[in-house]
Amino acid sequence: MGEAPDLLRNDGSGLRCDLGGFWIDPWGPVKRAVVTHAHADHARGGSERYIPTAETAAFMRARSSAELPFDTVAYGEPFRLGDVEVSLHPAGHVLGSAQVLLRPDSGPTWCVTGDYKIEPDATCAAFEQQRCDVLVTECTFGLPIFRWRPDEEVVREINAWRAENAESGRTSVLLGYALGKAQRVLASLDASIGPIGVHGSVRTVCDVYEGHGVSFPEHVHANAESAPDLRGVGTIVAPPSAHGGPGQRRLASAGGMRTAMVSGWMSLRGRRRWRGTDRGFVLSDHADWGGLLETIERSGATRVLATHGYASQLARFLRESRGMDAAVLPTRFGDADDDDGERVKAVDG
Amino acid sequence: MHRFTGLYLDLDGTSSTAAKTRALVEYFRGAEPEDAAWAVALFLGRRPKGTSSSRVVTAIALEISGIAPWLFDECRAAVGELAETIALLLPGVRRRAKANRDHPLGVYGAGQR
Repeated sequence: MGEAPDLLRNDGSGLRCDLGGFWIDPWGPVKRAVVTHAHADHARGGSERYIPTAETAAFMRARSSAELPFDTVAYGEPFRLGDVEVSLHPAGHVLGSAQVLLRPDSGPTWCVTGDYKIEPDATCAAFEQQRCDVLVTECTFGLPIFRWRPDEEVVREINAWRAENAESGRTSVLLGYALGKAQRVLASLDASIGPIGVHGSVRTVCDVYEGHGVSFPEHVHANAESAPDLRGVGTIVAPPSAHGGPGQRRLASAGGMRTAMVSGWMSLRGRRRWRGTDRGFVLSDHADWGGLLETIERSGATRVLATHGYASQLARFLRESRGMDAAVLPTRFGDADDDDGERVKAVDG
Repeated sequence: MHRFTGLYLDLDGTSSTAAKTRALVEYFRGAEPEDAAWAVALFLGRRPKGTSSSRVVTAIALEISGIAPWLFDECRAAVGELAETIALLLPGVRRRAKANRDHPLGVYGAGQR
């Protein structure tokens, strides 16, 4: 692989670029942090300066009590950090999510995908394929058992389920991660089926989305005041942590309620059962197995580093079945990112 | 078999015991006597023995899906269950099942005897 050291390496605080003097999604405090998106395991406090998209900065600002120092950048506009030209490109994961393209003055071009999803949706800029020599790809769903069905099919099922619940006088509760998944679900709901309410934490994030031009069907804040209107006919969008809580019980009608978790993990029956919800809808903000392989192929990369998820499995598959130069790039915990906001231990080497 | 599949999906789609009971009552009311007997046997865990070994089923799944044995093992570890792993790996199972005409539940077991 030549004499030159890698452009990026894990130095214990994060993915460090020595030539550019910055880190990507560091978990420890650093001088300059390029941030791919606002989920808590990628955007952490304590650094001296942050370089995210304006949308990601807005989420971080909304969440943090401290005044964070931002240099926001737009998609596709290159800027220089040290000896590296850097640009951010849509990753299609959540609003503001970005891939980081790195062009050093000499040597191979790198692309760090961050979390990404290939299928476009109404709530964020669509994934834009980048070409590079070295691809650092996430692989949350990096096994061939993970194959997503088209969004329209799943959305149709969700709305049919809501209609069925409303007809039998039951409240529908859809559970999804408060940043990204909840908004994607909300945007897909058919408002003619019944009134829609959102949990407080979802609402805060929706405000940022709306501030950036994303529109949602008419909805109210699900609270004691709106509960009588929602009970038995309405649909609530809430984070998984609200499942079974007092706020949720308040919204149950005499006919009860039906709950459903919305996540890529719902493709596994064990995960669905463990969640204890009635239904699981498979809608993910990550690329599935086919999407990962397609992205890797279309990147033109000759070297692939897998991170966040089934990394050792994807790397071995690429080596053995595709004859590629592929390895695992270890992250802090060496475990998988969940797309509903949990951390899940993966069989990772 | 389609009705039994529908029953299974209904049972799997709710955590409410009352709803599960309703689905069972509805199924058994409309089921052919022989199907009903098979359904009871299956729910009691009395599967016919020796119809096919998991080794044979795995070999067929590997052949159809074209994935390496080690990757199949990784998938199975993630899923936790052989039949579900195979269902997730095989392409287009759902659609083909719909296109086929229906069979009684006892068709395979009966052929064995």
